[in-house]
Amino acid sequence: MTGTRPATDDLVNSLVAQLRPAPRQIIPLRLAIAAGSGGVLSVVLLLALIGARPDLMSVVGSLGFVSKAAYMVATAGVSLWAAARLARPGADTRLLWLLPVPLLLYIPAAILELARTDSTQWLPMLMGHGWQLCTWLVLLLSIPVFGALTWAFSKFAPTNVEGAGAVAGLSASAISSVVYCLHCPTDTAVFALVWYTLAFAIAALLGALAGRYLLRW
Amino acid sequence: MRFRCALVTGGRDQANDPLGIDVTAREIELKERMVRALDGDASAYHSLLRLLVPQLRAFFRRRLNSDDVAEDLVQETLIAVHTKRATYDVSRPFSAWLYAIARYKLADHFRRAYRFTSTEDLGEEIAAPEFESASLAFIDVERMLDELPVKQRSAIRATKIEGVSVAEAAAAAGISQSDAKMSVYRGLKRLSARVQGKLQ
Repeated sequence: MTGTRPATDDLVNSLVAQLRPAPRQIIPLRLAIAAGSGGVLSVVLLLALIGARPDLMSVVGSLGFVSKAAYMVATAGVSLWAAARLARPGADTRLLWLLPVPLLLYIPAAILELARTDSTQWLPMLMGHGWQLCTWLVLLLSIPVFGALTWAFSKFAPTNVEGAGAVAGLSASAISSVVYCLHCPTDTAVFALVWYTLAFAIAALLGALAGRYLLRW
Repeated sequence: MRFRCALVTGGRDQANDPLGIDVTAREIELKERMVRALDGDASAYHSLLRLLVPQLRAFFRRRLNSDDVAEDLVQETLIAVHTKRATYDVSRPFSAWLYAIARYKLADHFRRAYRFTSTEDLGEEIAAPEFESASLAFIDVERMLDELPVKQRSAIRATKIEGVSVAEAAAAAGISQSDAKMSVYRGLKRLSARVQGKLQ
């Protein structure tokens, strides 16, 4: 009925001629390269702009610092894992509810911290030393990471480009917030919970918008 | 896997079923070629692409008025299959991956063609019936079977998974043959509807 279709047949032949063995594990590999190189760029940017906190070495083992960093590392890990899922066409999205798990685990830590402190201290704890800057610096530092993740996605095939953009934005801001821990002088959980999570939300939103344009294929 | 093998060798009247042997055999055939193509086997790849062309042509023609536009999308999809082949996860059904790409290309076409149509409204239009839904049905077949009424579930299990004939299944369940056939048909229809519902 349709007869032969020379153009399509030619295309098939030329694709077959171009066949090379496909690299395995391309998705985790590219995401790891992007997260690593973006993170390094982010550190360089932080040191060039504002430097590390002077007391870094003395706080690095403290509970406040470790739990704050753990929240961000966990968010980075779970969002990179989600990005790996959304990188494939027809991705299985049933497990994406895992994304807010680090947040849900961190909320009790913040509540516990508040409960153990006098309520007159609550506002200073929330406002910290630099709440005006924290959210915006995390977003600024996330730009190189987001750029690297966009590069990683250029070889992927996300069929939900907004979703993929959102998790890329979330991953980028979570990684840059880990970097920002090197500088951030405030270690209270309620501070991190509010201002870093705000940065994550803004980054995810911007990532979803950018994904529409940057992640199409 | 037990389920797939049973389908290939199983009961007599499966070829007539909406979700019967053809679709499953085709999925196995395509996937096997794709896995070899990923390792660089050109003849398997050639044979894969030749099988995909009519299948994709049917998919796009059913959804578009113009055969020329459909052919363009067939070619775009073939190119995407080629350039994005490393994103295929060999532990998942090939057809799910293929039709996700085809649907994406179709949505992309509509987006370009009707700039002001939101892609969210295209769900109905681009949801693929027949082959695709059938292929996807075995992703979670065990879990989904549990959601069916007992009669339909056991009829499907007997004829489709264990591979006994309808007559034997009906005798074992103590129901008439036509009742057993109807249960299989209704159950499969329900599964298919559920799979499509999940995709949207």
